[in-house]
Amino acid sequence: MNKIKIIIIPVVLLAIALVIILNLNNDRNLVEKSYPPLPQIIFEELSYFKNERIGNNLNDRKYMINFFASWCAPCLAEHPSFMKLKQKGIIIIGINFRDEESNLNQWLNEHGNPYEYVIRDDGDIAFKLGLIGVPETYFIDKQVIYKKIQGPLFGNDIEEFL
Amino acid sequence: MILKNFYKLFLLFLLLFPFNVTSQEQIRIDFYKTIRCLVCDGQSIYDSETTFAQNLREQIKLKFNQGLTKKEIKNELLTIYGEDISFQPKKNKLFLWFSPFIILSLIFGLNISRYKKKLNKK
Repeated sequence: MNKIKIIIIPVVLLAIALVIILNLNNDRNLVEKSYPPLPQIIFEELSYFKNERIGNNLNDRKYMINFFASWCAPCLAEHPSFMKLKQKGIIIIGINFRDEESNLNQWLNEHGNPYEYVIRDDGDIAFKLGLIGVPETYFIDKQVIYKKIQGPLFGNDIEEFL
Repeated sequence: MILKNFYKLFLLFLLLFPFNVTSQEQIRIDFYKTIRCLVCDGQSIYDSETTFAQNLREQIKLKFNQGLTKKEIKNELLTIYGEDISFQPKKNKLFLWFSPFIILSLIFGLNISRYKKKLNKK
């Protein structure tokens, strides 16, 4: 009996160790998971204030996409730092998520508009980009998302990612 | 005569129409219940009232109306949001979940003979 134990216990332990290691590798893959491609609607839709399409204007640039809404309090918290970024010449595309047109106008008039382009969305763009909740910010270089932050962003944090 | 037929048709309509609607809605609701709300992990998007869940419900409804099947929608959700969005675990994780029970039963199995010997001595 003791001989069997000596053989079986190490085998079982090894098997468990193997399974755990394999699963850890899976998790590592999840962390490095690539973000979904940018939906074309963003570039084809008329932007709200400028009445023009983004098209290929930003193809080889670094920029940010920020989901915001007038009903969202944390969006207001991160708003001043976006105003500062605008002064530094950083391009931000604002996607207005499930919002009333009048509320959006009032909100931007009251607090200022940090966005180069504003695009209104009833949820389609959000779905395609995998939005979990506003505010959410995507950092894009050459039309590829390289970073996604959920929740409000503040001055120094943003510059780390740019 | 025409009136009578009209009443019959009207009754038929009343009887059949709601059933048809609820059955399609039921399919959607059953599907919603298999999708996890990523804002409040314990709830499905059917139970949750967050904007995330509301939006997902609307988008899934649109996709159903476009004629996509459950499997296609689920695959799309999995590619966008990852494995977390589904309540069903991947099969390779099942072993990890059941491994404590397997280890416990092995321990008991290996020690049964020892207990038997002890009992015999008594």
